[in-house]
Amino acid sequence: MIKSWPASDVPSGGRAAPENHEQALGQSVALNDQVRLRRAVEQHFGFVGRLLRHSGVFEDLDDALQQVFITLMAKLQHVQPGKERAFLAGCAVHIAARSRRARGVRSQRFESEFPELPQKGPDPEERMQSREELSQLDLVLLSMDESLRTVFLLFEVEEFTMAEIAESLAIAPGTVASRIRRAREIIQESLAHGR
Amino acid sequence: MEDDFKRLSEVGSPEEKALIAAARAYQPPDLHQQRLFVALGVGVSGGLAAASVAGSAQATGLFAKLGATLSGLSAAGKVLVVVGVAAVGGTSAYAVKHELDSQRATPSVVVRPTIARNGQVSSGLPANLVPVAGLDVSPVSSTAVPSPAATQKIATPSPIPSFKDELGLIQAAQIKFQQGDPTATLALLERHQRMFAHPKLALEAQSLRIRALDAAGQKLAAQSEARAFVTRYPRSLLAQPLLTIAHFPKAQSTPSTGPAASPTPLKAPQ
Repeated sequence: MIKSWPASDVPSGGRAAPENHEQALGQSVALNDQVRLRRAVEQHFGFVGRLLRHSGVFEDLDDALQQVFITLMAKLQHVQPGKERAFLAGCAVHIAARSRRARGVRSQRFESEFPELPQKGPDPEERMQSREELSQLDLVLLSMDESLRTVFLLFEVEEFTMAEIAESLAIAPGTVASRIRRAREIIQESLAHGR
Repeated sequence: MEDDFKRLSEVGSPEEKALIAAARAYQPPDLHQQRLFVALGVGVSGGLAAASVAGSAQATGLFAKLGATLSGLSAAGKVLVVVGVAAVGGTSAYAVKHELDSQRATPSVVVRPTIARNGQVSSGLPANLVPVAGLDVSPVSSTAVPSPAATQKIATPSPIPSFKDELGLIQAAQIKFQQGDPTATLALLERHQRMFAHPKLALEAQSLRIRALDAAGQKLAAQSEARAFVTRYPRSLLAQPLLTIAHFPKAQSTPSTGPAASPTPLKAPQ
């Protein structure tokens, strides 16, 4: 029998009460929930994709995205309206960690390995630059401890407030602030070494 | 909180800022989003949405006219005709019947309305583009003198149906299933099978088909197909709604992939 979603995958915003995926997928979702779910995808797809991608989910991004949103679907009743973003962030962090563990690879990526980047574009130079930047970004981010990286991404890239981060990751706001500072130091050091 | 202490007293080297900008600039591929909508069973893209729910009420202009004409067609027919029109972008004054399932190459056609000596304006539609039965295919204004601007290009749908077409069809089938119409669902899925020799959403279609078979009362067929599907893709998210249909005997249980088995969506077959 396929297990239901592990309770540990439910971030604090999710009011726990695990349900199982069989039910979530087997039953047709109520109309209000469908609208809410669709809106959540439209509004947060980019952010979830970025968070997964920058957390080291590359080839499995498609799968991981589905897992995150299917978890939201299964727990929708327990997620307060307006708290979807925090819930999704928590899910994405768990799923990214699991995806990395499953692969057992601490991503060493090279410039040629960016299937998600468009191969065609108006300006080859610009394309090359974005590849280089993304490559550098991966090196810096993935050299960091997961807990620091996540907080850094949520604060600096996704512009979460510290309270939102604290809620998403179930940590104290003070911890959020100290992790941001530490992450910045590491990034500055990495960039200085790279010069 | 004082804008989070002014974003924690922002300092940062230009390199750090460039890095953050690069991180923000990344966008996951659109295809992933479309597949997500299918996996969740929510959302139908753009104009197709309004139309595929049987040319429903909100359709305006050509779509409204089309909706009235479509009332006599089968559900599958409606959706497919609308796919063809949606590809025109809703701007053409013509409705062209499009046999999507033929998969034969059909070049784009430029239609120039012509004026006969008696002042009659002909549509200029080539004979191989058959107007939808009952639809008024006359140009928008039959009295206006055609100007170069009046030249209308009928963007016939691409010769090989695109992923967007496939997605629209599967989503239409999902809608029919949610509306409690398994027969129409099966018809659409059959059409999908005919139209797409190498479907990207084959597993999504197969899973939906099994559920539709079950809902249509074909319990034995549904059970046997469900068992085959679950056995072959035990960790797929798509297999989960099929577990109750497969109804494995207690002793046999679901083919397990071990205690750590968790639902994992499958990639589309390439």
